[in-house]
Amino acid sequence: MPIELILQTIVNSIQLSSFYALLAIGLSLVFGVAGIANLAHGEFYMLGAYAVWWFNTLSGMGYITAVLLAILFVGLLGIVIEKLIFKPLRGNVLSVAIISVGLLFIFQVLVGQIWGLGFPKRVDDPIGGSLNLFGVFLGYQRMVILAASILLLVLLWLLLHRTKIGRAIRASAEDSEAAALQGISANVTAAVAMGIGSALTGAAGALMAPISAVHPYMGHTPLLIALIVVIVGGAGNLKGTILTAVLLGFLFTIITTFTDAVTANIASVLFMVVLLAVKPGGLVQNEK
Amino acid sequence: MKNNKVIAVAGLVAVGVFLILLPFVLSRYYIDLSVVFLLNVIMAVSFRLISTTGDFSLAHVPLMGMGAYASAVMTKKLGLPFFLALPLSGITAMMVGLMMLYPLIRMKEFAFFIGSYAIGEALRLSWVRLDIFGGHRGISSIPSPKLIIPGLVSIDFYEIIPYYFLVALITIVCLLCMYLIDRSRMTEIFHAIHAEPELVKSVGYNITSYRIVAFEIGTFFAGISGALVAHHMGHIDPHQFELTTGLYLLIWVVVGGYATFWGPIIGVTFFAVVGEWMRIFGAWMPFVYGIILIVSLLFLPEGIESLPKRIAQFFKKETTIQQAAG
Amino acid sequence: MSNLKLNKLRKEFGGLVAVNDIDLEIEAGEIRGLIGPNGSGKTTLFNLISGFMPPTAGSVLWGGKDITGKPAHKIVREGITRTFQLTKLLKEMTALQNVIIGCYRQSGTGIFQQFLPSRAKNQMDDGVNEKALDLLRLIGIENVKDELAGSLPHGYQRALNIAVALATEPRFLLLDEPTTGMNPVETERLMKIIKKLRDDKGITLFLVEHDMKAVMTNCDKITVMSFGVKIAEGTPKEVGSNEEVIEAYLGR
Repeated sequence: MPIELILQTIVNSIQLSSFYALLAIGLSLVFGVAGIANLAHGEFYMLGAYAVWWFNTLSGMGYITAVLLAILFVGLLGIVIEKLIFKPLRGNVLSVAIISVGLLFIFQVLVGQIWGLGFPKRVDDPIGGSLNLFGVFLGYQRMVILAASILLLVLLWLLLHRTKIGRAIRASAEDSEAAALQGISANVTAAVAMGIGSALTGAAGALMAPISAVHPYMGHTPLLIALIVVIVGGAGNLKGTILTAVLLGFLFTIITTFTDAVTANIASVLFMVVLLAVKPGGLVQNEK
Repeated sequence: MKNNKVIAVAGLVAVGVFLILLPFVLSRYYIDLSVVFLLNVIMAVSFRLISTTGDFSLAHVPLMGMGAYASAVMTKKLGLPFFLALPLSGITAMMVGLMMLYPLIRMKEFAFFIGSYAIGEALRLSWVRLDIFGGHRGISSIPSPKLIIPGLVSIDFYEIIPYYFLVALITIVCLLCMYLIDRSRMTEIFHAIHAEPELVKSVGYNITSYRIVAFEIGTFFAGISGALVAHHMGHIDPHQFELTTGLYLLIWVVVGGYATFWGPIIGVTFFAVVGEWMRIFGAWMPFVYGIILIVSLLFLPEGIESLPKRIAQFFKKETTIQQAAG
Repeated sequence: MSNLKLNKLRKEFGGLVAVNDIDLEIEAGEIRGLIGPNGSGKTTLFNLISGFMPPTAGSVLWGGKDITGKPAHKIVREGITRTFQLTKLLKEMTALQNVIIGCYRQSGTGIFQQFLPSRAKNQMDDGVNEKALDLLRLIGIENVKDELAGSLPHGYQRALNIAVALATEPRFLLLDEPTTGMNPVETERLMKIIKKLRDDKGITLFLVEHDMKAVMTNCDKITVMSFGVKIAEGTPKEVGSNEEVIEAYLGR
């Protein structure tokens, strides 16, 4: 086994893990804090990518500006959707999941019809190319994603542990009933969690835009990944989510390197089934 | 009491007459649509049957596909007659369903919902992988059903009108079975399991067994419907049984209402009509579905079937206010 | 001789010990009270006995038979039934219908009997309707038989819970705070019914209760728990004058 292959696999795994973490943390947050099983999660990712395309490729703004605007846009969208659509059904996880299916269809078709279903959109790399270190290929954009993911996750940690609203959110994630009794407004924590969660998901989409095929259905696989990570890592559990993302990043990279994408797909769904069957917490809001 | 029975029988007769006359007044296109409609009704009602215990299964459509593939293989590759393959398809679906339940039944509510998607998708991907199911392209040239009793009858259901009658008859039989089950004690227990599982456990019922039975009954009818789909189109492939189809099924049932036996039928009918109106906007269909679903869940959460009740309540309130105002 | 015996029964939740090596023995026909401050593990103990939770260690013996860790529905078939602290009823169904559902199982074992259509027809055929009505009469709430369970006043709901439990023809009843929300008149009436269940039907009763007067006057023996541990056991008089018990209740 050539050393370059091992190193490359490790590098790819780390990069994939950072992406998975950023992708899943949003869903983990809203599910753990407000019991929102947003099955349109993948569409928020997709909208992040389209937003960057809109601001950068179509409107000519700088890449960084476009990413920041995309994050803002998706975050705000998340809050609006929480207030209008999820709030009335809050409390019933399955109902929220079902109504989010409606959102899934709406976003996919809207985006597809407005901007076409033809070739995927292109967003140019801000820093094109890659670095070749000891025979290992380090794409610049992927390194940007890694750095940005770490930065965003650190910011999230600071928010959750150093601010008042962050503490309220963590209390809700741990025990939503107790938090409510303590006077922490469920409305506020849900909206904030949804805002932050959506923003982070949009960030994932925005960062991946230059290196992925930007099309209306690009959110399907991200949703699956996010679900698996939330099942294993535990909803609302920041550490668990990141740990799982790392594990999964390595697992998927290795499987894809040595087999193919279809096998990876089958493996991922079977993995999900086994996890749900074996893990007593499964997809439960507050794991005891 | 007796009046209700008279009305029910009269209703059934009316429906029967309607179904019999239908193919003689409609164009070929609409007869075809009617066949699809009837098969969707079987799917929706059987989906709802499973959901009475609280299990919303996204594996329902994949299991329908299993029935379709089973019938296709049995008739085309094993040469079995359709009328033998049909019940066997239902049973095949049940057997695969039982295997799925091994991990799936450990999950509840939302986890069951996601898990059922995952395991259904694994089944669907297996059709892509295994040669006997024809991979991505699926199975074509599925033989049409034939009823041959030597010396008595020889019917080939290849043409649309005979096939329509076959499907209509089978649908009536399936719905009748599911209706009787809906009125049984067992279904009362299904509902109780959904409402208060701890209570049901505390009076000695094995909840898992009941959930399995509900799932298997629903799956049998999904298999039947699948077999009828296979012989209708003459061709099946894995893409017909994708997640999107299952989500549409979910939306029919949720929008129509799932409190009673009739809700899903109302849902399928509603979307059949909407689908035809919106046919020109083809690509926008999922969008329309999404809007209807959201509006429905926010403003009419118990589904279209609760509309008469809601209207009655509204008018009662109005008259009370009027009376109070004097 | 049907009696209940617990040997070093233990339940841990992660680091927390909710039930700490409890030894207990209840004679057939006894009315045993279980008291203790909130959070002392009383409901958890009930959950362990009735199969709603598997124990971490220890055993449960019923009439000499080991029933440890059996699932809830199997324990019911052994003759042990429990009610819940929070009222659990089918709120959209009538009081009578709630009890009837409890009766189906007795009147025909096996899931296939359940294909029988419900409502009018079969209730007449196998006496399920009558049996349910008798149970409502026994508890004294037959006058609300056609009311929706969800619309009944709290005290009636608690009583209905017991009627439903009785549908399973238990030899041993675990009642979790049966008198919560009842006024003194209703409590007195319920205690009389409980005594009748023991006297007339020979049912053994194990009650978790917070109403001290009810417990002291109606129970043969009382077990006291605090923080998962049994701290006292004996006749009401013995327990009432026990130092530790008094401290457990006052020292909170």
